[in-house]
Amino acid sequence: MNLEPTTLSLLLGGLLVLALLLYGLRDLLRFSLYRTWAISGVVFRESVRRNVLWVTPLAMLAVVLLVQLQHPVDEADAIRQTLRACLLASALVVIVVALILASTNLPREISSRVIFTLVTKPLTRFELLLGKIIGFARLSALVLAIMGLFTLLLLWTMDFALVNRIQTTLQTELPVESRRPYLQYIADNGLLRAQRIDTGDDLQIYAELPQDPADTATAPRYFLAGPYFAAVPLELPAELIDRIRTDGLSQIVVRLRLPWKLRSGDVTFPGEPPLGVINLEDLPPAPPPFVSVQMMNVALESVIAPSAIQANQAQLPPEAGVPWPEAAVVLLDPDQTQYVADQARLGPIHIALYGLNSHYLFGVNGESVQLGVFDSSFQEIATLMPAVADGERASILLRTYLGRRGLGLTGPDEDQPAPVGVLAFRDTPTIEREPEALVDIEMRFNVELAGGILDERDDTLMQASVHNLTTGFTSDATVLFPETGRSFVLRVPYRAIEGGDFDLRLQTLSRGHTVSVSGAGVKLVVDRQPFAWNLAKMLLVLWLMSLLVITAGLTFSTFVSWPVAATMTVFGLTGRWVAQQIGETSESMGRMAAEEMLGSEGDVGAKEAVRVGVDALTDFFSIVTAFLPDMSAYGTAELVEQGLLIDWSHVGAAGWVTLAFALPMLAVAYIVLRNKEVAP
Amino acid sequence: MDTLASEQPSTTVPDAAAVASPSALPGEPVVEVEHLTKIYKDFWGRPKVRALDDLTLTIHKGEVFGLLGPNGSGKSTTIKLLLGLIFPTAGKARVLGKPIGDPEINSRIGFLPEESYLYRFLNGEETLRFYGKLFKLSRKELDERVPLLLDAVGLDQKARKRKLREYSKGMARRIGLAQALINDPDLIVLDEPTTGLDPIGTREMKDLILSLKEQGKTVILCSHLLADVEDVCDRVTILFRGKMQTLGQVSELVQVKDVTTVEAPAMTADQQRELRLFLEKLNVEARITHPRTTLEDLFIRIVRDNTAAGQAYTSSE
Repeated sequence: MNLEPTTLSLLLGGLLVLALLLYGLRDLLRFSLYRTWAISGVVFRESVRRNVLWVTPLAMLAVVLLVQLQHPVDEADAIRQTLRACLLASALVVIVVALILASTNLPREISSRVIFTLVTKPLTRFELLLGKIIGFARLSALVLAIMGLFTLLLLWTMDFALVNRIQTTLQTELPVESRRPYLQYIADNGLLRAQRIDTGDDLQIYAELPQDPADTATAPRYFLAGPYFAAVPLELPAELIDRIRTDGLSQIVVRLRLPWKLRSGDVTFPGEPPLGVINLEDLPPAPPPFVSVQMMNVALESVIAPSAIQANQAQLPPEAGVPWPEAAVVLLDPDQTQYVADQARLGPIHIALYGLNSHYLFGVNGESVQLGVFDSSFQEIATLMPAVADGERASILLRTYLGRRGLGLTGPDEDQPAPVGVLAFRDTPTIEREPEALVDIEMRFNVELAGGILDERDDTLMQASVHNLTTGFTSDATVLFPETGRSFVLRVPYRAIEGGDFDLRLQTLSRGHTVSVSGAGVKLVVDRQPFAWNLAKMLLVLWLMSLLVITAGLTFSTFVSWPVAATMTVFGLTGRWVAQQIGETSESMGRMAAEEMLGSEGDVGAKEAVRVGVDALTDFFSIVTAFLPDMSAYGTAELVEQGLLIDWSHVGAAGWVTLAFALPMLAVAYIVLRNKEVAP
Repeated sequence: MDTLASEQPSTTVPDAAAVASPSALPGEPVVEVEHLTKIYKDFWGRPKVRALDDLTLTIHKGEVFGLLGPNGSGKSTTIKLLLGLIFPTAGKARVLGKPIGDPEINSRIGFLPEESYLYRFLNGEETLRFYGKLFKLSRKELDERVPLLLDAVGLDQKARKRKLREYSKGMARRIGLAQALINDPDLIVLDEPTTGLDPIGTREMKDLILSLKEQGKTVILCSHLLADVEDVCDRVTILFRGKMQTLGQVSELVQVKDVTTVEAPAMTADQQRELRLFLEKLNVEARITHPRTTLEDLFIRIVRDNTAAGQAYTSSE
């Protein structure tokens, strides 16, 4: 009988659960919630009478002091910083209290022999453990309720004061024009928000808006010369990857036939400047268009050393439609080819194209790039084109360098128009309203100034509009005033987003300014709920995390001393994250480490040993992570901080992690305690 | 301590099985121990101490049974084994008809440990309520039983509202005893019950043990204070270095068979002289003295005589 690995693990898991149930059947049948609740009551009362709750006023005092020391950029930032301090204090207090109490309780009762009077009563070890967990869970719920109430009162007070101040300011002439829309937005909606938002799917940066956005196969999309680039995705079949890896001397040839054109009004030609009336036809010929090719992995990380990139350059043919044999060619040497093959296992690789002359706009479509793979005898063993999905070419990415908060969108250069960032929203859930009702799009970008060109006192200006793909309606272009660390808002009529398929078009208007734009920095407000409700959900998630800490602390304390138990709990809960940090590497990590340590001329045997060792370590950490809880499931504080709504799915995910790890730990603790001689 | 066995040359080690035979004593067996052995081991599982060695005995319903022995003789180990706090290395035991370690039998057992190992942050009343809940006593039952028990062990209204960490040693023993009796147990295990009690408390404890016996309860008493054991126990066993040295009825074990005592009301000097002459004629070399009371009886008499009529002596005084 052949069993699938999944079936086998389910079978083994089922058998294990059955064995556990049989082992604990006697105690399960005798289970009494009354006794368990009595134990939980005494645990709760003990903690309260040992003045554990005093830690909450101390935490509150720390928060209040911290709030006095903060230097917020604006009102929203003041609320954000205070909220962060409150949430941090709440999390810290509840986790530390849970950890210390849970890991010290049993060892202390055993050493003080209080356990004698417990286990000589008709109390099962299961009831004892569960009672203690429930008792500590009650305590952590109380701690969180106190901290939550404090957080709410503090923030409500702040919100009331700040919004009042803003309303007063708005009635005067004080606020600069650039801030007025955002201040009005705050005055209307308050600073404490819990919003469901949509952040858009994809941000493309075009030199000019594409004529036909739907045609991804043949219509060229133009991008500016570096730092802008186009990334063409391409899948390498597994057999081909294996063949390249086995061969060792394979080479990849990238064939290019990109459309290109002169930038409108571009007069910055080399040589003598033309005099009089400029006729483009009379101008001296521009230098030929060159592009550089860089290979990137699925995460758009370069997989080729910078020195190699210098060599990967080619002059483009005069026309895009030339046959492939006449296309420009870039040859990747065997080393580069090996790296590309390694990375291709993780997903599609991207052929990134950088224009090298700023006089041109470089275009790209689904038929601009071809990849040929040659074996060691220089026979072409495969010819690949961009992947085809659902009858269309896979989307080509038009990007630029990554700034602090996203892709850098520069302002106009001389008299050349600025590039346009297009953030696509597709199938966005919207709540139906009147066509002219205003919809809020919150934005938060980073302003990065280009060196020495501009006066820093100048405002950075952007222009934004929303184009509805369903109706063809485009909202009026609105001038925005982004500032680093500050939110601002674009308000457009509902009909601009009706149907859920629309593009947000962004352009930096200030010459020499660069604004970092990312999809995450643009939030279309879809729904709003009370802030208190959102905070309560976040505290619930925190409580679920404390349950896991309690169970882990109590479990470890059944067989080791409390300091060791507390340490093991911390390692157990953070282990996955640590292992991920160490083990989060690509499949080619071993090969890269070997190259790094021993160089390209190093001993082949030693390199292989390093590769195998590093790969084994990576695999080990991957296995470790599978058995440790994923603490990121509890990461909802950031959502509350950003005013984002916590979905029940977040709470469910946290509950699932707690259940999946707390139950087995409880089983382990029960087995250990049932077989433990509690008399020291 | 090592001389304990040699200090009792007159006592013989009887055949344990014969003495413990259920047919020879009234009541059904409550505790049955067969070849019970406990060897403590070190971290590596190597034998370290043989704390109890091949103990076999039976305790019957309604008996007050004394476990005697110097420190480290195996008394506490025996109790811990019977209560399931530790597990035997060899041998077996049954308590109230069930194998040891079954939590179900605990519902019929009351245990007063050597020291009152209780939650020090609870007050007397809360302590009893908590332990009562572990026996699934309802609120109504607790409302009835808790004040009765607190009265019975002599903890007044003031004392029962105080936290246990503020209790004197005697008060802690009293509340410890009360928690041991909260479930109206059939078998009561008392480990050094009179430790920390003043003579009045000691007497009350002994009276209570005898009253429990009258109610048909079985009591296992573990004590260093031999006088206490002698006063209340029906049978005792003496353990030394983990082994049972003797087992039998207290009255038989302590009887000095080569001496005869004749008791009479207080005699005048003339009566004593005549009696001495009479005994000389019988060729009996006798000593005529007044019997002595115990210091405990003297103390109790003085305290009771000096306590105002109607005012009870309680632990908080």
